[in-house]
Amino acid sequence: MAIVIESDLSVDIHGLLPAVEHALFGATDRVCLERAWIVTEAYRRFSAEPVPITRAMALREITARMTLDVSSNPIFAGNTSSAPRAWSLVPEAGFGLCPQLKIEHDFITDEWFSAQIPEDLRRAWVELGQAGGNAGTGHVSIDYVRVVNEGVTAILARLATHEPDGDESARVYRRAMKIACRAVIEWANRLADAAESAAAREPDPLRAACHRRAARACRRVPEHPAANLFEGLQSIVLAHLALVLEGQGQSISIGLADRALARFADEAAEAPGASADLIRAFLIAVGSNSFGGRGSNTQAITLGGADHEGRDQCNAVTTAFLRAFEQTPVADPHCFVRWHRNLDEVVWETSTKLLAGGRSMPLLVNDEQVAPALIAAGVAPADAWDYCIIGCNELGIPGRLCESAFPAGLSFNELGVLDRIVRERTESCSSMDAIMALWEAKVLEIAETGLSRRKDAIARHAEKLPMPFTSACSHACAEDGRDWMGGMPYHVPGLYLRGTANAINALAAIERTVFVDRHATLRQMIDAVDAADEAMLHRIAQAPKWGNDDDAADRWALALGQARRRALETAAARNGVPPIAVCHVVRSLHHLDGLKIGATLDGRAAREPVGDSIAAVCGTTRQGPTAILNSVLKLPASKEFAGIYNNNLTLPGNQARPEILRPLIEAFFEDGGQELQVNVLDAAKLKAAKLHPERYQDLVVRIAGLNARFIELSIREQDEIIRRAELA
Amino acid sequence: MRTTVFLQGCTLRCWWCHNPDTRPAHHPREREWTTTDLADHVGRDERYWRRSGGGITLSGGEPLMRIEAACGFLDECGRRRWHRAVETAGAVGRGSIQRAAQRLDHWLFDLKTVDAGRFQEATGGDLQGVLENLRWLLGQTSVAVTVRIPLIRGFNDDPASWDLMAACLRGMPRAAAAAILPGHDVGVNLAECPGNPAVERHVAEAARQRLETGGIQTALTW
Repeated sequence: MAIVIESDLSVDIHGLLPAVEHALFGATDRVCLERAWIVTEAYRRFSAEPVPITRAMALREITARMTLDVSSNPIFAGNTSSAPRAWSLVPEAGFGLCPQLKIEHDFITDEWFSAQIPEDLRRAWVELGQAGGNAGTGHVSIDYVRVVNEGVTAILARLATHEPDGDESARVYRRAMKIACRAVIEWANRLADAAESAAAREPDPLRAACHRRAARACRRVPEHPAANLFEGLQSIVLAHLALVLEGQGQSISIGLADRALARFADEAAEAPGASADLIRAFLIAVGSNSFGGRGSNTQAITLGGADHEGRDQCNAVTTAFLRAFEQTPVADPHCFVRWHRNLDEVVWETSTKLLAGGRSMPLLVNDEQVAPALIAAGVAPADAWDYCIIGCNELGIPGRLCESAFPAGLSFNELGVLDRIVRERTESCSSMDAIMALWEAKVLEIAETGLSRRKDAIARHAEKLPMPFTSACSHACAEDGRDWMGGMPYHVPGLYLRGTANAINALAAIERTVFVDRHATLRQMIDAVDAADEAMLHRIAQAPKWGNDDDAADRWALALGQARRRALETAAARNGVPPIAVCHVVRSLHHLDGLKIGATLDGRAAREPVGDSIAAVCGTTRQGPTAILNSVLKLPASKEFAGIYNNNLTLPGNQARPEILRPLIEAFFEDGGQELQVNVLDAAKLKAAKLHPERYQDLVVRIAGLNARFIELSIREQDEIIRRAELA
Repeated sequence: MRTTVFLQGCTLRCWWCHNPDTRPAHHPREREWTTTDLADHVGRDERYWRRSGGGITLSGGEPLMRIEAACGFLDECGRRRWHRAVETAGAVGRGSIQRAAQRLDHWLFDLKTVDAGRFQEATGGDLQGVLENLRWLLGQTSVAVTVRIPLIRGFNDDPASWDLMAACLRGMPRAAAAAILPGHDVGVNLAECPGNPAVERHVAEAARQRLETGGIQTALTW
């Protein structure tokens, strides 16, 4: 059936955007208990039903009873809690607080969070039982190409087609999906009612017009295919927020937004300004209604890229997204552009201009490294070239692959592992080869245990915390009657690494101190580091360092990678799983990792953070940005990082003109670089922003796995960024 | 994008020098290279030059002070077909200028003042020799020359200085483009030198306009 595109860009919202932005940025974080209580009642009421039905009924109760807020953002309807930055809890998962949030924001403490959860709610869940975890599951991207262009009706039709298939559990799960899909459709209609009422009450003609347009759209989407750009965006907002309401937690990602909206490219091309304005309001809608208030920083949007036949997928919507990011200083969602040699010129020019201007977005990822790595892991080419970023910088394919972004059981700090080996097996570390052999054995042990734990974790999630709406919007799940967790077509396990740059430096320092100069035995070196012996620390500081294009250090990156790869290949083969997608993921884990370990042989002091990027440890590079990138280029990215390797490059403002950035990035990618996060920082400006936050509302920085409005960050992370800028 | 090779030693002693480590003939952490090794080392950045039209730049100190080493390295770069530039204050003998001129694609030639007394006082150097070298370069070669004017607070950040520079440059055998260097914070905290903190933007822009008015095509990168 041909779908007529009926443009609906008639409402000029430009003047309304400052108020909509203020409704988000000016909001105070607090906890909204509404979802928690509705879920509690639903779990009690439907406890006799199979778990997927209980969960679907809980979603139905939430969407039918929750307070609707159509006024904070009158442009797009949809909310998940009573106000922007009011946290919606997922008590069925747990009441824990993600420790990274406490690193990132000074006001977020266990006491603050705990005090907002009433005792009777806690008691209720002692009886009901929680699935575990503190953030639901999250780290997912559903297939918005289908949601926007086929509508939920197509999903319901698919469920109907397969209704009798499979065993009882599959039929039950399909019934749950149907309930969940209908709940979301009814929620959209409730929102349409609310928007119509708001329009009738609203004295301001512009706001009233916005409400009327949102109401019209919510009558149609996400139930039916979107008929224009506005409806496409509204459809994504509703489906995305429905995932939050369902109980998905951190890092729910939008996936390939410009591909999902490609049908409306002509509309965006004809009205670029109005389209960018719409997307600005869209970004606020996504950013203000998320899990964890301002602690939500990792809802990724992926733009650009090529398909499996090399055709660039950029369109006028891609450009409109970038212009929206230029004009609205959101940190969440954050935005990735998929680079390839034939990337649209306007998109590339706009991207480098944004980066040179200090926007710290888009983050860049190279198709030519990522897609082949997924194909090598068994993904069909057409799907591999449909990859997107999930969360901080993990990989997925919308609705088809999420396990690469689900690290349960498989996550470790490479520096921490190396440190344990040299301390616990000092006598066995008789040569660098011996250290590397011990390292490989330890990684194999971690991977084998991790794969087993991970299998259990996935089964537990599917059993205790099924997500029928998420599953309905994913591939293969409706057909097979299975939960998204385990039911999507591809199962590429992810491994989260941290501390790699420190581990490389530690190996180079051990080699130089113990085996080349023979200045100290390994035991003496460890003791001296523990005693903060200045002479030893000076010696370590003089040892070769990763990130200086110095083969004396860089060869340890290769040795570490080869040993890791062998261990992971063995573990994957023994467990009958595809190649493991290694991903250097940090967000703020570099602080948490650092707090857990003492002084290390790379010269890092006890409790100091480990490096946040694969590129280099802050303060250890002396040869400039090209040397940093040259070091990283020695890593065989597509072989060793079938995930993403989190490469953060900080440049001082005066070195970062677009005409410099462009060849720098192109050379890096054309010669095999996989990912690049460019952070153009000005130390003086950051210091001023720390002192006078009211003057720097628009300043967004990249730390490792997250973008953040600088003024909202904790003092600890503000100082970290300032130090980086000073040393850049 | 360019990769800069700093050579040790300088013929001048500018009080605002932002890189005083390079003044002595030797440095405690200096490293000696063969021309091939040095070219191999800097050549790791070739991928960036190739895409940006960049190359190598010799700097210092005064890179032409060690003309033998400089020419050896420039010859090696020439064999590799790299674009070659130099940052010089021009305070070296004519022979060095002539030898280097055969090997360079672009000169970045400093002009700090055209007042010989002030030049001598501020840098310890001989302005006449510098200007004659510049005149020779512009008169006897067709190589690209950019005259770079570092703006120094309290030294040459006044209109009278800019007018004199414009007049001097107008009198050269051929036109050379000028570029204003507004200064930066590098070296500002070094004990030996106060460095050259950036002039205010409007001062740099005024200098650019004044030189343009004086007939000199002038760039300013802020």
